[in-house]
Amino acid sequence: MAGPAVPFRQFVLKVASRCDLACDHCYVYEHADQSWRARPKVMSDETIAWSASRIADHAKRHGLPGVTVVLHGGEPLLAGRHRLERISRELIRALDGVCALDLRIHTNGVLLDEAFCDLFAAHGVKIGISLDGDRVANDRHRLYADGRSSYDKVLRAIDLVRRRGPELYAGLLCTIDVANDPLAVYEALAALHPPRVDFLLPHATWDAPPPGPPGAYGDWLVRIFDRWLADGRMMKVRLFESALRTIGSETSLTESLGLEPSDLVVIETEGTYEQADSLKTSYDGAPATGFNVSDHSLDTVGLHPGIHGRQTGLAGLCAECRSCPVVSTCGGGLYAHRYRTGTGFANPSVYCADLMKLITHVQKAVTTMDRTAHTLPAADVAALAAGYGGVEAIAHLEAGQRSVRRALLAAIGNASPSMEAWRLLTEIDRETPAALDTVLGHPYVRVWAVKCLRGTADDGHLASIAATAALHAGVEASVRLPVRDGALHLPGLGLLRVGAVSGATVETEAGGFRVHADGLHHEVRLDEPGGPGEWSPVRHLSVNGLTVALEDVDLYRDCHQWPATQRLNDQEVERWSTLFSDAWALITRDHSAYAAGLAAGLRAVMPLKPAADGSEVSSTARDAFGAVAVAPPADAATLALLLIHEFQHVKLGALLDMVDLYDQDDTTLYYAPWRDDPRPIEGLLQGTYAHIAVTDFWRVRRQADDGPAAERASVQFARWRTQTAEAVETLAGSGALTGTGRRFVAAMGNSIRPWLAEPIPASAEEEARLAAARHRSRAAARVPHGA
Amino acid sequence: MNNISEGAESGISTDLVDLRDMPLSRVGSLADAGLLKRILPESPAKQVTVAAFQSSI
Ligand code: SF4
Ligand code: SF4
Repeated sequence: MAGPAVPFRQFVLKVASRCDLACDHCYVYEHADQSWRARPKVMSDETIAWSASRIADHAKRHGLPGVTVVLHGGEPLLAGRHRLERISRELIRALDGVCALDLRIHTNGVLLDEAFCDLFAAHGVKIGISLDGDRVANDRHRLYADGRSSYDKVLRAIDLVRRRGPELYAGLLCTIDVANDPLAVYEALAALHPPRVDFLLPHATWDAPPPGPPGAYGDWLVRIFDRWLADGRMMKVRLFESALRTIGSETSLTESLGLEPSDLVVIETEGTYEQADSLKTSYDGAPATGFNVSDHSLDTVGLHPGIHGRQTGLAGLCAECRSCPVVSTCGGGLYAHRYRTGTGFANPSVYCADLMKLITHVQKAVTTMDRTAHTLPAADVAALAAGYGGVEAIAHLEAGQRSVRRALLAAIGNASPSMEAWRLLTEIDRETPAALDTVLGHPYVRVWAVKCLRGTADDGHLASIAATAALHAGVEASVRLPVRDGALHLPGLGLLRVGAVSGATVETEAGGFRVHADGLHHEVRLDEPGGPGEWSPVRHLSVNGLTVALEDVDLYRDCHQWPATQRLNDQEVERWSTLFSDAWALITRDHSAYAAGLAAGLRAVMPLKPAADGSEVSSTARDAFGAVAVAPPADAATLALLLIHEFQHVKLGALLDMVDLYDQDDTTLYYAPWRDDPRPIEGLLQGTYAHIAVTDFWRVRRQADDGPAAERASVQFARWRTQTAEAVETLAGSGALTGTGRRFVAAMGNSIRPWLAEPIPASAEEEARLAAARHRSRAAARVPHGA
Repeated sequence: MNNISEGAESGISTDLVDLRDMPLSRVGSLADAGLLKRILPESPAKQVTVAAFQSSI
């Protein structure tokens, strides 16, 4: 084996080996391992340089997108400002251009002052602080050697960090003592508004079990969990979140729960590599690996059996844990807590009874929650499968989208370090849910949410969504918004140019808002369409009671295959307005089977740049339900066709969010008559579904139009009816459809089959046959590639 | 005629949890884990993830 089964991504640098406190529950000094006595007090510059270069080499070798480095101790602030600055600089320098660096420090806080905060702010170092709860709880253990309390100093430190905001404030760590009142501890921590807290079980092993009866820690945590849930989870608690996530088959956020492999290595003050330092509680020398930064690479350390043993998940656990009903959440608890002389780590956790209590309680809370699934009435699915779908069918698809958006928003809100926007959103959801629905219903909100969860957009837009929801609700709120491309973005409403600042404060009220940014002030009234010159509101296309956004300002609209236009000028808007009115008149007059669905579900038309070769360009994005992107078409009939065609994708995409129509693992590529490249099953299904409507469009047009237009329509109809019917056969015979998918495709076939018998001129038939043959031979000449 | 709702008289039950009436503050890992996997099949949740160091936050 060439290195660790899982590369290291977390590095704990013990930058100082001593501490200015003397907590009696400390695993560094008060437990079995006493190796600190022989260590230098601080990490030398040479060890720092070696550590940084080893980490950078490892990240490069394994192509890691990012690493986390925690400056730790003892008390890391004892390393001093200058040394901590050198360490930060050295790490940033070594990893520059290699991978992202998440740099953190974990401190007891007593030495923290403004100068340290300035240093950490300058280098992007986040600060976590240890606090065991209220004064009584904290003074039970966290004392100076002479017995003095550390409480006031720690609180002052937390206040300093809090004032700097979430860029600096990482959260609080609380070690549990069951002698403390759990709710008093919870309230004391919550009052400090930490972005995240965690509760740590005090270190113990089977040789040195924790005080209190088995299960006492579980009971203590359950009381906090219930309160936390009742409070609407307004503070992030890593242990509880991890339990919930693992119950939902997601990953744990902490090494104290779950089956995730360990990717952590400790670099001690003198440069030796150690395994997780919680092993210090097990026996003297337990964390040692025998390797050091100047002589050994991190891949060498990865081969150490102790490290490797903690990367094997379920297989690495004892028989009792392996057969435990809650093992996928518990994972045997923290490795160090399993130790017993004789059997080593092949035991359940010494906290087994506690973990079992907590996890089963959380499981029960999850299962008693209302978790009904959406249902789709048979008639609506049948209408959709036939290629249509009216108001009712679209309403059911929209209902599914609402759930999707709420889940996405909550996933972001629950992980966001800034609670301000999330609190406002949850309040609006409680008081005026329709206002939240309105903003979430804007098609490009989901586009942002998906990008954010994939790590390609930041979560700043959450605040923009919150401010927009407050405006829809007509409530007064003050929110700090990010400025992107020199503007504040209010999804669905518009953008306000504020210039080159990074953020601005928006104060909302009924009908408008005020903005303060770097001494500049703006006021926008939403009922005055002109507004100040800096305000670019979203304009609308309106016809016969149908109103859709002409979306040319949204920050996340440029998500289609083709580039979005810049803001349109008044003449361009006028032209869009005329085209849209005429296209809508055509749709309602001649293609009425599609009109009700479009009217119910079309939210936005997003103008694209015209194609260089003049061809028609239109697109939908799976995440932008209700939006159709289209370059200015030649005429209203073309716009009508593009809207009908693209809206088929909108409907089917939303349906696929709700039900599986095909096997997600199917990797076969299929011939698609409308593309030169072969398509995966979803692409073929989407294209076929859209072409049912395309065929239907030409079928109607060849009778509604006259002369050359009717002839052209006949050729198009002849071509697409045959090829779409063939594509339906390909789908049906693919073997990749689910039961529902097979029935859906059969119903698609039922729509198209009668059209095959409709008479058309022989010349049109022949022209269509030749076009189809040309396409097939062009497609056959291409080397298949993934689509 | 082949009927899409064959075997399901009134409708088909979907794979999507209904979160419309769940307070937003309670939506989260409790109910949406499976839903997010549906919507974001290639999200970071699928990457090998690891256990975070518990002695810092
Ligand atoms: S502050 Fe931390 S390192 Fe220092 S004695 Fe207390 S627990 Fe140990
Ligand atoms: S420690 Fe106990 S609760 Fe956890 S997996 Fe093992 S047997 Fe189950």
